[in-house]
Amino acid sequence: MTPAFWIKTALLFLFRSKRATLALGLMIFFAVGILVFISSIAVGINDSMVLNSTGLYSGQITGTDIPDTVTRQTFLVDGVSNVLQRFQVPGILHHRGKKQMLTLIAVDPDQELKSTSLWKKIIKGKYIKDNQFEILISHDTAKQFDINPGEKVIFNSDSSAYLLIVAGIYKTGINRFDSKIAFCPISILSDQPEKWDCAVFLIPGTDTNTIMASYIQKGLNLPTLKTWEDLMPDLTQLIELNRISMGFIMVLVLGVVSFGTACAFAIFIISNIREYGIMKAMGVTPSETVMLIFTEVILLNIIASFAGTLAGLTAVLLAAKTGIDLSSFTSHNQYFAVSGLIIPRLTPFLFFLPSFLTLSFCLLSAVWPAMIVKRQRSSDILRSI
Amino acid sequence: MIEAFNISKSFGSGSKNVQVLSDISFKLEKGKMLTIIGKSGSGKSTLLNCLGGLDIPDSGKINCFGIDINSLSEKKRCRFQRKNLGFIFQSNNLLSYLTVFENIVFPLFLNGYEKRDREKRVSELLEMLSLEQFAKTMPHELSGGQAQRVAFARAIAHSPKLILADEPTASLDTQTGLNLIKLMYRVGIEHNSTIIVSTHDNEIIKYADRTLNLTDGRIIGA
Repeated sequence: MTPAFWIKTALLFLFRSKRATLALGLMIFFAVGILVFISSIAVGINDSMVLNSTGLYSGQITGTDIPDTVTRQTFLVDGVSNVLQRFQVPGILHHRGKKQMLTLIAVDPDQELKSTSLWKKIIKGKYIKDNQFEILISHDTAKQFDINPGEKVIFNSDSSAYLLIVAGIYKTGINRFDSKIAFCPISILSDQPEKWDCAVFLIPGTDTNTIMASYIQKGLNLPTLKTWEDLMPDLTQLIELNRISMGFIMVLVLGVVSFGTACAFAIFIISNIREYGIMKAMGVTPSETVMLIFTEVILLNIIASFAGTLAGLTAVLLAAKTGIDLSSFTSHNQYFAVSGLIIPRLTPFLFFLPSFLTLSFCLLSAVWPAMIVKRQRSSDILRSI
Repeated sequence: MIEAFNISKSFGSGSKNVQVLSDISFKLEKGKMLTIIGKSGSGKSTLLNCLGGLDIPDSGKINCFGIDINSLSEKKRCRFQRKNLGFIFQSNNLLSYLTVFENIVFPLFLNGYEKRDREKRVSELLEMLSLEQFAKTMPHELSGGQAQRVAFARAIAHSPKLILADEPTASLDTQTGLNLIKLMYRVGIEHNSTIIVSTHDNEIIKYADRTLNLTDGRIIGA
């Protein structure tokens, strides 16, 4: 006898037990479909937090106090989409007799617009332009000076003084950005500092550790060069927490569903015990009976899980087209400083995990009824029906 | 030859113990037909189950064609049953999710028949039992007589050495039951199969080579 015979018998059994198979199949279908979708949202939330946190300004890898002997080009390796060069110029900002100590950060406006999202946080005016004596100030600074875009300020560094026009006012909601820093174009600096800062932006999906390894291989072993995971341990921890929570949710959802499925399977198998009794009377061995039951469970799972995964994937793709806007729930959260838009995404692991877990739970749930069928003599089964 | 030596079987335990078979012994030559008669609860079905290996007697020994079936492991006993035995139950006990064709072909699959042989054999049986038009019919769509004919076809499909029939005509009208018995008798002669039938039906007894009369689990006449 070939396995094909048992597979065919199991398929006939499933297809001709229409309503029972449909009910069980739908339970598995919905469990898998929903879990695939929920997983993709969890990944999307993590992605969004990282993107918001690194995309606002800092990039995935940040370096400070880099000697001018190391050029921007040095950081451009495979997997890097852009490297932004910045200079910190400490000084005092003056306006109508008011003063504030702050750090003016000189940036390349065109490159910043390409890779960062700080410009999205401008609440008044516009972003600074290259070669223009303009300054972008925070909402806090603007409030202290009672100043609006178009008005002039003076910035005094150790060596120079600049007359700058306020191009725009931004507000991020993140304390380290909203106080005591301002931005101006590099091109207006009369003398550039000897050391510079870099923000490295990676192509999506590139691992920060891979890039760091490339830098070390190139001899760029700078102690100030750090990944976002090092710089934002709180975010790293939050993402791990999110992953663990998702794992708990998966196990809990499947636990509840599998309890229902286990009961349904037990009823399904026991209500068909007559069939197994007849088979045993015809000489089907107990192990073949168990194999038949497990083949039925596996086939039902494969079909229902496949359909559930496809439905979940379709929902993910549809939701990913527009994204899910959770801005109203994230507006005061620093990890969603730029946008609360969640783009659901599936990883290969999460794509297969719900199906795998459902199959495992269903196989476990089939053990008890299979053992009942295996242990009972066909004469006892046939006598009892 | 089928040989039963001092077969006893009881169900339950303690004060609820019911002795169903007591010290049953008989011999039946190959190719002969034996009927077991007796009232309801006399132990006919239990004896048949013991002879077919579906039940294990508490004591005694059963030799089927030289093999002590109770000494076999469960797996070997199943293999022995699928090859050598054909069961017909009082209620047809067809596999409800298989068609008539699939029910009859099932023991042939179990016994490893090739596809061509399986199809040929099932076609022969369907023709012999006038069931050709029901090949793709589900069991619940058949009448009692048709279903019992299918059960009979399934029991003899693999040409077993021993056919055990537990009141096969009980749920049939007299004429249908008689036709089935005649068919069973004919097949038994053609294939030299040994047939053991439990029954209340006096018409069946006429075809038997031998009859055992069971009362309260004991043979009171042979």
